Amino acid sequence: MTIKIGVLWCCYFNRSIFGFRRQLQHAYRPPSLFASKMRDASHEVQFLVCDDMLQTSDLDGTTRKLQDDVQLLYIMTHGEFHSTGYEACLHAANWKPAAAGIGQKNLAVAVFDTCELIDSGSATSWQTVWQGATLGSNIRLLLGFDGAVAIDRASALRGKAFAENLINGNTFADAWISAVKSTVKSVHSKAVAIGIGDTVPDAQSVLNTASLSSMPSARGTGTPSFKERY
Amino acid sequence: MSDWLPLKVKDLEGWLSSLRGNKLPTFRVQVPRLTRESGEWSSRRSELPPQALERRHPESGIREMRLSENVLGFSSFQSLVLQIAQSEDERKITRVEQDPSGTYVEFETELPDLGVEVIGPGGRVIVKTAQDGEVRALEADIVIRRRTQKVESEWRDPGDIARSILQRCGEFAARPIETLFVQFGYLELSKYERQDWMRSAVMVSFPALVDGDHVKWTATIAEPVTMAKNLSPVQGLGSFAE
Repeated sequence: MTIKIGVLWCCYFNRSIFGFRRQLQHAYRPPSLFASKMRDASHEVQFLVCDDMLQTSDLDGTTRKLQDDVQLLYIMTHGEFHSTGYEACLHAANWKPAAAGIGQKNLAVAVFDTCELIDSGSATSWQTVWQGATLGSNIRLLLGFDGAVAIDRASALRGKAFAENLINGNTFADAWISAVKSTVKSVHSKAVAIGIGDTVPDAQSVLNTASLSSMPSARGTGTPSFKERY
Repeated sequence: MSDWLPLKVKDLEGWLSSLRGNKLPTFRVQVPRLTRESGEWSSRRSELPPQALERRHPESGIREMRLSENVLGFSSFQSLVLQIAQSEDERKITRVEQDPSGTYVEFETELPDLGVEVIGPGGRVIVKTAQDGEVRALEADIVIRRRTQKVESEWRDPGDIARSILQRCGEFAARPIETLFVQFGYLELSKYERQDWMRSAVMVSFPALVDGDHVKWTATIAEPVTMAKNLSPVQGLGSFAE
C-alpha cells in the first residue's frame, strides 16, 4: 500500500523566535531524508513546502489546507506548547493546528518534529489542551516530542530512521520512538507517540496497530481520547 | 543512556585536562563488504533460528535481525543476540537500560582493553519488540563495529579543545551558553552512518535556544580529544563533526 506524504520545514524566520532571531539551519534535513526514503519505497510525496514559501494560510484554510491532501504530514520547525494549544513556528507567523483544525479529510498521521508537541512539565495538562483542539475524525496519530528536543546534523538522521522503520513494517508509534532513540543523543529527546480514539482503548489500539500496511480508519465525531507512548 | 555531566563553561578546560591520562589510540573500523544482497532481509546462517531474517544495514554494515515472537521468547532472543554481539568486537557491557514495558532494552558498552566507555548513538546492542502484521516481532540491532588497526594518537591541548567546542556551540546558540552537558569516550555512530574510524571524543549537548529558564531547542556536537598523524580531525565523527 502506498500513501501520500506532505513535508514542510522552516529553517529561516523573518522574526525573532522566543526573543531571538535565530535560524534553524538543519530543519530541512529530517523531513527531506524522510521524504527521500519514502519516495524510494514508492510512496508519493504530494507536496514539499518550506521557509518563506510556507504561510499559515497554506494550512489554516484561508487559501488552502495542504495537509488535507495527504495521509501523513511531516513538519520540522520550532514548536511551542501553550495552555491555548500547540503552535508550530513558520517563517512569518505561528501555525496553530489545534485552533485551525487538522484531520478533517485524509490526514491520519501528523509528525510534529518540533519541540513541545506536548509538555508534561507544564502546569496545564496536555490532554486537556489537545482535547480542546479541533481534531477531525481522520487524524489518529500525533508523533513528536514531550518538551525540548535536539536538532543538529546528526540528530536529523531521525527522519531517515523513521522512514526505514516504517518501510520495515514497524507501526508508526514504534517507528518514531525507535528512530529517535537510535539517532538522537541529547539531554532533551523524549519522543512521544499519541494515539487518538473514541476511547482510551481505541487510542491504544491505534498505537499498537497503525502502520503503512494498516492505515487507521476514521474514528467517530465525539470528544477524542488519547493514549501516549514514550 | 550514559549520564550527561553538567559543566559550567568556565570549568570545561579543567575537566578536559582531568581526562588526560592513558594513551588512547584511534582505531580503523572494518566495514563489511556491502552489496545489494547484504542489505536485503533474508535468512542467514547464524546462531539464530532459521526463521530469523538478517541483513547488514546498507549504509553502515551494522547487523540487524528480526524474528517472530512465536518462534522464540524475548529473553532467549536477547541471549542469542548478545552472544552474536561478542563476535562483532570485544566489548564489555556496562549498563542495561530497559523500557518500563520490557519491550525495549539497550546494552551499552565499553572498550575493555582501554576501560573507556563508548558514547554516541552507537556502541549499543538494542533488542526490542515490534508489531509485524498480526504478530509481534523481535528485532535487534548490534550497533557495534569491529575495530582493527590501531593508530597511535596524541592528546590535544585542553585549551584548544575547549575553544573549539565553545566556538562550535556559539554557531548554534542564540546567546552565550553557561552550562554544557558532556560525555567522554569513544564515539560510535548510529547504524545510519558509515564509520571508518573510531576515536576518543567529547560529546556536548547544549541549549541552543532558551526562553527564560525554559530550554526551547538543543543541539549536540562531538569534538575529538586526540589527533593521529595523517588523520583528519573530523574522521570518525560522521554527522557530529558539524
